[in-house]
Amino acid sequence: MEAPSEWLLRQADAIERERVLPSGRGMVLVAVDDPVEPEQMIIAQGAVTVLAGLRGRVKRVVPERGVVIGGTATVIEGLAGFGSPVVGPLAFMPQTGTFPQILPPGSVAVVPGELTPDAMQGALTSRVVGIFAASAQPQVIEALAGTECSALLDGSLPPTNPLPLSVVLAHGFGRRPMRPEIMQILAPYANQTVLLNPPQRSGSAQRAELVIPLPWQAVPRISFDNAIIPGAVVWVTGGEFHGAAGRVSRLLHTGQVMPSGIRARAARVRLETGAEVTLPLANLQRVG
Amino acid sequence: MAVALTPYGSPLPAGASLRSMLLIECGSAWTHATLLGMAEGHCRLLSRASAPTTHADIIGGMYEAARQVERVTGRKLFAQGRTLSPETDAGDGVDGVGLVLSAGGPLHMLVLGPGLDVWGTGVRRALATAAVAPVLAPGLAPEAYPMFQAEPLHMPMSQPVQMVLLLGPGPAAMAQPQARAALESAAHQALQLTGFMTERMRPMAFVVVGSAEEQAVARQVLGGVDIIGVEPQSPSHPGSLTMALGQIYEQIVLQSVAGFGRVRSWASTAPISHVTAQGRFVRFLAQRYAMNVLAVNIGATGTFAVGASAHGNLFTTQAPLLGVRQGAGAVLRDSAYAGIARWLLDDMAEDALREAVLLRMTQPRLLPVTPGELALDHALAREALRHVLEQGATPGGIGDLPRIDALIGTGGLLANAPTLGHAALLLLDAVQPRGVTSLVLDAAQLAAPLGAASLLDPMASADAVDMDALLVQIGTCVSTVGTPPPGEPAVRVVLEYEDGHQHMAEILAGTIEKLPIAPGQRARLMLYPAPGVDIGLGPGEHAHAGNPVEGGQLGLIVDARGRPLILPDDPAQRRARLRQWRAAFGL
Repeated sequence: MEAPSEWLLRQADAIERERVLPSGRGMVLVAVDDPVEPEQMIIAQGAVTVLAGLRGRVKRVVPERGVVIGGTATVIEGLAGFGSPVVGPLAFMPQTGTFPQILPPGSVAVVPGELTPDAMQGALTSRVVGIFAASAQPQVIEALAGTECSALLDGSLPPTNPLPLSVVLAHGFGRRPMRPEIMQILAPYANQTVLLNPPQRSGSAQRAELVIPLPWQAVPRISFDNAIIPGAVVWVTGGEFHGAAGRVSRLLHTGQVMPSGIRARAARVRLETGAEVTLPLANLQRVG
Repeated sequence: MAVALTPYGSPLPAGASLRSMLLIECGSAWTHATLLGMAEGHCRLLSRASAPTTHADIIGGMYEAARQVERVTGRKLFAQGRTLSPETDAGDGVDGVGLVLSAGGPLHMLVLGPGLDVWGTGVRRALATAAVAPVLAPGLAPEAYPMFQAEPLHMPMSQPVQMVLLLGPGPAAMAQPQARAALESAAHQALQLTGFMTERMRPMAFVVVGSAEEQAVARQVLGGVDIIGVEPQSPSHPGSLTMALGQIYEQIVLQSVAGFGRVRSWASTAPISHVTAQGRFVRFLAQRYAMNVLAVNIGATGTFAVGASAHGNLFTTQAPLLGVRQGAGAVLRDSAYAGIARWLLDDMAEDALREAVLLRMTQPRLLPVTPGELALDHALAREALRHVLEQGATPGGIGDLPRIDALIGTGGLLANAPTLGHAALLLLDAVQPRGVTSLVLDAAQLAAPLGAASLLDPMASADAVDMDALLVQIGTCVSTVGTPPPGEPAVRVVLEYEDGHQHMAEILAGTIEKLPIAPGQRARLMLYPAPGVDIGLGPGEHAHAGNPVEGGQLGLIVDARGRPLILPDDPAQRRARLRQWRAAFGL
């Protein structure tokens, strides 16, 4: 079986994103082919406004639904997300320190490690609109939403409490630090307006993501290939080495029996620690 | 509804049997492509390949799986971005393309009306043909209508209601003013509920089940709403509701799956669900071998059971949101920590188990690498299957299947189990068959594609089932019900082999054991249960099998653990039992 499916990091990718009317009614302030900037208000609905979140052009206006914008962006996909799409300048929360840390109100805060209750409190106190964190314990999200995390993920229950901010977890639940590759990508974009985009419907193709708008059509699209090949840099997405990074030494052409007893197509991977291990292709994510 | 569907792109040749078929299954985690073709006068399995489902556009996964088939067989399947059909003289392309789709998730449906009791059985049969997640309108308690397997409607809603199903009180009741009033009231309630919904949440289809008079009453209240009227043949027969649901599912759910329009243009017939495909396969086996067959499938998102009687009656029960990956959260909520942890040999803290479930939900293609990860997957599978079978124990569900002669494990989780012992123990723990049952494994995962192939060419599909279904005979299982007097074995088993020698074993209550009958070997089976223990003929009744039983890969399995299967509350005793049961299968 099988190679992993999608990239977590897509740099300078041509994208289209839908910005949806909050409740089906409202005034669309742009027309097809209009250029838009990330901070630009594109929909007004009483006191509620929707910002473009992208730099690009209006591709479609869908009555009673919203606006589709095309542009160029770096997209970092996360494994889980909660809340509604929010737009704000990117701000970095220190890795350690005394909370609450004061961040610019209305910003999207990057938490470089686990989103702890203290970090969440710091974000709430600062009135940030969104958090892009490496990971979180389920209880932290549940305290915010008032609903069990698995029910939020599969859409069987809505949040009991209206979420005061949106959250995207790059590496999902648990206690995992942000991969340094992601921090390197994010670092140059401090204070730049970004779109934090949690999935709006469970089971849909949409994934949780942080979208960093780039100058429109100014950056050539970087082609990418998700195949696991010798030399590829990969992250391990499950099992004993979950969260580790490594480089594929070679692909094994016959199915390998894992310690669990199951047989799977696999690769030999040299981990950052220097150890070389056999891992199923399905549990590897290519990042370079 | 005004959703346009693209035409089918690979029309079947009229009147002729097909020389080749490509069957594509797109599940929530994996996509499979299966090629059937003629070889030496028979329709045979030529190749099968898998690729991850690509949710951003399902075409990607389908191409990848089909391309692997192309590489292995050397047969060109695509030309100019579409399937090459019909088969060319050079042997490229295929005559028919079938689709099995579950990637779109379930159809969220609001059910209401005074006819829930009246039409329940028939409606349930129709609902079982598509992945449907019903919710009942406020005021209707799900536990009062178990045949719908519905959840209550939560406000505010987390998922859009994609369809409303309004059930009339039945033609006989319409003469009574209160029944008519109840229908009008339900129609008003539907209007009221949908009126509160935003455009995004509002239903796209409105189906009224009832006679022409009932439909007319509903239309009057619903005014300008576009209604699909369905008049069932009888309370137990859903009539055209099955077909209407299939079209609605395709137009609402599948149309929203990225890439579906293009994939549909490859196909020769309408796409079907995994449940429908496996139902066709199981019904064929039941009729061919004149036995009652139950097939179970535990998937990433959903779990289902399909039963067919020797007379061809089909019984299905499904939970489209109960599985071992995206559906694992629902299993945890239904079974709770204790329900899942009871199947584990090693301690696992509640927080760790919850985190492991959330990991599975967010990374559905993960493979279990460590024994602990596999054990948790199988614990979730046992509970998912147990819940589905409990749901099925209502009228119209698989509980109506008189007995299970053959139990087939289908799907990737069972087919990829490390050993047949893992699969056998999982099936026995979750399904808990009674009496004498053949355990079978769909090791090549061909149940769904062969069921889909039967839509394209029933004869060729039957041929392929006979030649290549690759059903692995795990073994015959004898399961006891009831408790023997203290100190007595639950059952004494005598096997008399064809060469005349005998093997006798006494199986203690609470244990499970394997007795030797090799594949292909036959033996006469004699069972002497203790007083109060039933092996299918009544408490204490002895059994001397008229026909010899056939051996299987694991021989004869005697499950004397009793029914229902109860695990000790004490953790040490429970683990000791689990170890004993696993040891019987060499695990």
